[in-house]
Amino acid sequence: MEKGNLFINDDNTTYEHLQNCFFNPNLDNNNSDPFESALSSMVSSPISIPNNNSGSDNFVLRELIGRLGSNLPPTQFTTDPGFAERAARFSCFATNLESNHSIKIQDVNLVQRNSEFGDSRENSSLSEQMIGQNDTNSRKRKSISKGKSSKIVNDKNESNAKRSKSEENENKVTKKEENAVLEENKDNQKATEPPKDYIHVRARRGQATDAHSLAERVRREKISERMKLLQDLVPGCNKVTGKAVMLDEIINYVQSLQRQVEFLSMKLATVNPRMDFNMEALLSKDMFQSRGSLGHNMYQSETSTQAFPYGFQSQPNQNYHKGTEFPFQINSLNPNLIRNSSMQLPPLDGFVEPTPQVPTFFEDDLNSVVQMGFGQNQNQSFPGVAGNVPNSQMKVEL
Amino acid sequence: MTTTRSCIIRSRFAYRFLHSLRKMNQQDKTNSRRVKHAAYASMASVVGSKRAWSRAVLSKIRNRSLLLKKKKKRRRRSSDEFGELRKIVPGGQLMDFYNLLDETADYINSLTSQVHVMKNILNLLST
Repeated sequence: MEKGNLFINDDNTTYEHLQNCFFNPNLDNNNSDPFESALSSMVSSPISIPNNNSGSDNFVLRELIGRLGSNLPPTQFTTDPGFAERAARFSCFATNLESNHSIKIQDVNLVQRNSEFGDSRENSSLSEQMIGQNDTNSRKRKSISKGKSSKIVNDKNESNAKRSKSEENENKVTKKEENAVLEENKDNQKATEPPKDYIHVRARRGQATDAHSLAERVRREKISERMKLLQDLVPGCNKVTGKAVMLDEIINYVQSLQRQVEFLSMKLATVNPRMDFNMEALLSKDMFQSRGSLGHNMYQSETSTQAFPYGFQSQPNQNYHKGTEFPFQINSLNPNLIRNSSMQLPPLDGFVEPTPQVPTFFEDDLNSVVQMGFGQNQNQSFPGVAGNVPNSQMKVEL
Repeated sequence: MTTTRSCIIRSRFAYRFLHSLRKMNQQDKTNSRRVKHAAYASMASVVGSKRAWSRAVLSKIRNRSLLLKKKKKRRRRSSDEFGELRKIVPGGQLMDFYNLLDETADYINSLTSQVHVMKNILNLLST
């Protein structure tokens, strides 16, 4: 009962703030029976507190549902039948209690505030749910389905209406009602949580509004977005309409690419024995053509290797066919490189060695090094090599 | 931004691929299958473990001997209408459709750059 007392205190403070007409009867009710009051306050407090906070309607609804869910667990009622009876009689679901009036009025306030947001359907269902509790959920669901069918006419809603009719007969036990009401509240929460998607989708298409179809719709939108991206990627796919044809196109394209790779690897396998002669030139062309500026800057930042950068910078726009000189420089530069790029270097391997550092350099802190290198250089010993500055912006064309 | 990224990927792929080709050449074990494997492996390792398809390729390469030994029959969603695409994209068997499309886009990108680089290398070698 400590919980109940706590809530009574809460209620008193909040009701004073509210200054509603139901203040006195509710208080009387609280004083007369602490047990009932605990229940009623448990039910009513979640509404009153958000009213004071005057947050957004989403917040209010969520608060209401969360507290209802936490304060009135179904197990409590199942374990204690007397408690369940009392809960049924004295909570907001009974009409003849004063506390119920208070909740009604509060809910009406809620509804009025909610209806300002244009979300009238859910709110109407909520008010129905709270005021007409004796009529059970079926009426509520009817109202929902009515609201739906007034706007949308499709098979799903008709089936909903049928279901609600069939459920009308089943709801006779009060405990069930309460649980169902909790579920209804959760449903409302789900509906209010993604308000944007919900409104957006419904306004456009007028389809089902339950969570599953919402999620499905979002998924479909994502997929179509991806398909558009793929359409841009695959050549000749722009003219094609229809998902299936487009998928065929994509599959064909990927397969052709894979076949191309296979073909090229076959050719390369035949050519490969000759490769040793060309290897160095190839690497120098492939690697350093694209990243010539890098080579410069790495060397320029080193003041100890003054002779080499000059040699390279003298021909900035040519291919680096002087690749044979690289290993020595790199070896001398290695500690510095390791320090700079803070990356583990692969083992030294003759000429090929310089290249792994270049990409890492390129990716990590190239720009800073570039600027540093140029700044140092032009201030210090190589004023005549400013011609390589445009080279640093050279585009990579492999 | 994408161009610079693809450039980085291309150059890295070229480096790795050439390196493995060179190694292959030194060991005198060059055949087309090996070259193809090398191409795929270097592409996947360049792309890294961020992408599902590269992860699939890498794990396939690493566990090749294991896969040869015991051919497990996995449960496959063959009833899918997009099963064709799943078969083509590595690692596509276990993805949902949205991720499959995502991976396909990335895979196509890297395949095009791969083909580009390989063509260039072939040109340079044959001349």
